[in-house]
Amino acid sequence: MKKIDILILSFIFAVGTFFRIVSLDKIPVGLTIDELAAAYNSYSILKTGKDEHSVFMPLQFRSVGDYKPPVLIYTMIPAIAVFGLTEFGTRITIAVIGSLTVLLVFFLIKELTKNKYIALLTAFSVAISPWHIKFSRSTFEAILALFFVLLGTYVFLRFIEGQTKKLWLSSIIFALSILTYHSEKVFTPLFAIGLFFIYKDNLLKFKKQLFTALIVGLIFSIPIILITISPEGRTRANMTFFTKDFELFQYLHKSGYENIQSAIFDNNLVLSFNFWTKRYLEYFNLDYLFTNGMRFSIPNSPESGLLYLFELPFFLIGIVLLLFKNTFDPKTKKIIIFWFLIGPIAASLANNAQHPLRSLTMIPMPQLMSASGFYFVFKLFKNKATKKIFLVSMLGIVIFSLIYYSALYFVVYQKTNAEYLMDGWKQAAQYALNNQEDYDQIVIDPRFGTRGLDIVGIPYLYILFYGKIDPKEFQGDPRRLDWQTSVNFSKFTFREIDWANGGSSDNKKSKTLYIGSPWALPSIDQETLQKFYLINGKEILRAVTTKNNE
Amino acid sequence: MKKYFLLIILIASVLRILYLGQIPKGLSFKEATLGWRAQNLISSGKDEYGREFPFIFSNWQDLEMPLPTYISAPFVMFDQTNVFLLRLPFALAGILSVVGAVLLVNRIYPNNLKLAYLTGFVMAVNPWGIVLSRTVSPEILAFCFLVWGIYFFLDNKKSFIGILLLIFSLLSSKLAFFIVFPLLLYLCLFRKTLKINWSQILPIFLVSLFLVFLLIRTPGGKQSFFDNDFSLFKQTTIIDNINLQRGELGNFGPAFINGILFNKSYFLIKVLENLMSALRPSYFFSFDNGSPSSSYNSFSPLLLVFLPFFIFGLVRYLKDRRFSLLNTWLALSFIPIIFIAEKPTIDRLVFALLPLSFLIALGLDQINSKKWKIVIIFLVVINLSILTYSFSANKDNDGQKIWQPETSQVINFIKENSTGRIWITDISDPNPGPTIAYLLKKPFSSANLNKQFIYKGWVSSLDNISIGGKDKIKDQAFDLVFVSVKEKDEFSCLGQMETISHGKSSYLVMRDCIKQ
Repeated sequence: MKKIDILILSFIFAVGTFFRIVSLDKIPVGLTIDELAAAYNSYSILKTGKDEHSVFMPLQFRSVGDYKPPVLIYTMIPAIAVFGLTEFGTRITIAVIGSLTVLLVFFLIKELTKNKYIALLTAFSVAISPWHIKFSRSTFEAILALFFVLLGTYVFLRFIEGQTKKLWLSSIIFALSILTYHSEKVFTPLFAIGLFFIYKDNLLKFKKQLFTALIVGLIFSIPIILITISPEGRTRANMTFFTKDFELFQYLHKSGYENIQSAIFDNNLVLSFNFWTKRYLEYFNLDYLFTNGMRFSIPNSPESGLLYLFELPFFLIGIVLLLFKNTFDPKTKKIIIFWFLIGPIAASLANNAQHPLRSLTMIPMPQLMSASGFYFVFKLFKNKATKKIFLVSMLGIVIFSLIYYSALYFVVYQKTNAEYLMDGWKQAAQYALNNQEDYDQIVIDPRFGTRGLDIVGIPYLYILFYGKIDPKEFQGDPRRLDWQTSVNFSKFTFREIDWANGGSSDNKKSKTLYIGSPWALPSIDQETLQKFYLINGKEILRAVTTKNNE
Repeated sequence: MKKYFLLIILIASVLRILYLGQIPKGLSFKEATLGWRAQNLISSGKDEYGREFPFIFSNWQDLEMPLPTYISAPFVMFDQTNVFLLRLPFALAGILSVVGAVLLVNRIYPNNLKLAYLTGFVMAVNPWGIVLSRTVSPEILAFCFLVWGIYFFLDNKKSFIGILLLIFSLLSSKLAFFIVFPLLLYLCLFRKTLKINWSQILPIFLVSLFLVFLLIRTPGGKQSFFDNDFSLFKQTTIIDNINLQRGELGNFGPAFINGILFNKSYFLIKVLENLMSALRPSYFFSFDNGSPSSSYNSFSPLLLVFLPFFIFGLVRYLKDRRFSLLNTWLALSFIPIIFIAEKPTIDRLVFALLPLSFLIALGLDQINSKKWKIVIIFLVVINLSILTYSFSANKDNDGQKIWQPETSQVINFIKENSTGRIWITDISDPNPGPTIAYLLKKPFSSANLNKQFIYKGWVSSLDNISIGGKDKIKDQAFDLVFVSVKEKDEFSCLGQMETISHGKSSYLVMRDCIKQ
């Protein structure tokens, strides 16, 4: 690589890293349940070798309502060891992986297209991608899984080019991607099969390496198969499969068919297939990709797509080039098209429409298309002056888009979605922890929402995290013996507060601190010890105690 | 090859005319209004508002061009409450548009007759065209005249017929304004082979101008354009949200930066977003479109089996510059939906039917193996059967609401039992008046019309039948009352109760009641 290329790549990497790491401890405004669970389980493994449920080095982690794949939690251990149980320590692993993905994209696309300019442009597009930045800033396994997919593909392409003989390494990395996130359980095997057929001629020349890679892949797949067929693994699949989606479920026949025509032409298989095609095709909607896919604000407001709007014309040109021009060799073309088409398959099989996180597996193909389009347009300008004007104009547009995105994500999104980003719980947990000596019992209500009951949270994780509760102590707490049904420990009880009703209601108990939503607690200010506000100024929680306390 | 042409016409006719009076079951509000208006024009020469042979009509939600009504009137004359006859002119327009499409594509690409037939075949079997043809749809009429108009216009000797038909298209639907003149302009500017002089398109230009002027000058005309064709710009929530976001930005930057980031230029993005949302593959090939008639479980405007051929066709289309006329046509077809706040509907996108069918035909044209042809026909039959069943079955879902099948049942009940005063709820159907008036053949003079805005309104009573307005009928006695389940306790009745139901919607019929 030339010095200038290294310089440009370093700049792109720096931009990518900046957007992923700046104010990482403050934005997003709150740690989500998944982030807390991953962080505390990493901490627990680090301290005791067991997860929060006392299982020794599990291959899947029991979480809230489902089981989490293991790789992320183990990967986070070094950062937790260095930075402790803090917001930064929790998020830095994925932020770094996300930043490294930018570099990896460059090397992968260069290997794939043999064009360093397109590779640089694709890396830049990923570096500033609203889609990739958002998920890199929270602890999402999907970012790590995508990294493994890209790395596995890179090693595979290096093997095809004869630059390495370690095809087995590619197998291991692909297997790791499957162990990291659910989408890859569908995407990676399909992609690997696709790679095999596209490069069949090359691969069959190296039967020994192919055989080794297959065996290694199979060995590494054993835990995946075991996890998938286990009742816990099936729970997740059953819960999230698209047939459970309400939109489809209301149309399905639940008590047989009315007549033979209905059984033939309107059966559940036909309805489900039709519904799935809709869900799959929705991932290619241009408005989703370029203007409103990120859903940072309320409907009918200025929004952001998964890619920037300025990339749209280049994206369309990129598609035309891919189909009609010989910009890339036929095998490269096949990989790009195949990757782009299978990218959202896993997401479309799940029960939510247009899920940007689950469809991260499409990256970096949309970015590659806009990069090729940009490169093509740039080459159309013949003299230096017009080239300069084009580049300067584009730079202006990119800077404007980045400012717009920053305003939208770093400010507007944090305010409009503060309660869904679990803002307020940190302050509430810290208040409870700081004042626990004054009470016999602390009751925390998991229900919250500024307009009434909207979300049911998992407050015990905030107490564990911000109290840095010793995992040994937590695992051995006598109140946790019934952990299948309850997560109460020490003085903390997590349940709905029953304030208003007479009899044994909570307002009769002494020396008890209650934390819950304003609508679940008395509105009299004298009884309120502390109010907790969202970043947008709305009250989300409050702490109260009974008058008997004195 | 002629036998293929006849076969296409036969398929188009069967799919459009068979059980036309029964499927869709019931009568849409739009259909009932047109039928009632036609009845009035035939019997008294006046429309439902009592105006003598008006040029611009009002369909309670929008202003309507004259041709659909005046074309329907002679059909309605034969049997004034016959739904088959009411829908027939539109079904014929649907068939003729298929025939016109074959001829037009053949005129544009005379060396490829197969392509013309394939376009006709795709148009004949696509649910989009079938559904619109089986209902009262001014849009399908406008589309039919457009196809034939352009066909004749491309013939130097018969271009005057083309111009006349294009004027008919303008007289059929407001949507034609968005496409007719721009398309002709394109032909004059870029079709060098056509010996067109500017004086030929002058009549179209003048007629367009005159009609727009007339519509704007009609009471409520401007409002109707803003309510129905440019509703995006009426969305106050957009402005509110922009201001809200600026406010939330707080100290992000100086106020003028916040103003630069979030401002009214967002409307431009909304326009682009509308265009992109209509270009969704899921919109055309799955049931993701906004038309009420298409919220049937399995409805997709274009058959799903055509999706791969659409992609093949698109690739060929982009490679070959000969297809530029249909390029322009396709681009202009999307204009009617880009300025509206609502989801694009298949009726507003009707003009795209030809170029999209053509794209699919281009893809199908590349299939030469007999085996594959059989497979495709088999898949088309299966796909069409699934959709036909979904469309014709009495499914219990929202899509069928627009046909108000239960209102038709109410009318039958009144015909068999009616004596004295009747009250009908407007809960499940906000304006059942036109349907009742059409099916009972009530003259406009018996109707009491409420005008909320200049062109918006509803029927509050018809002779002895009162409709809605519960607060105004307190303590009044009725011989027959049709209520929703929720409302039954609001009446004290002596007579027995019966149920008229269709799917989720149902009416309770009660006798000898007093409103409490």
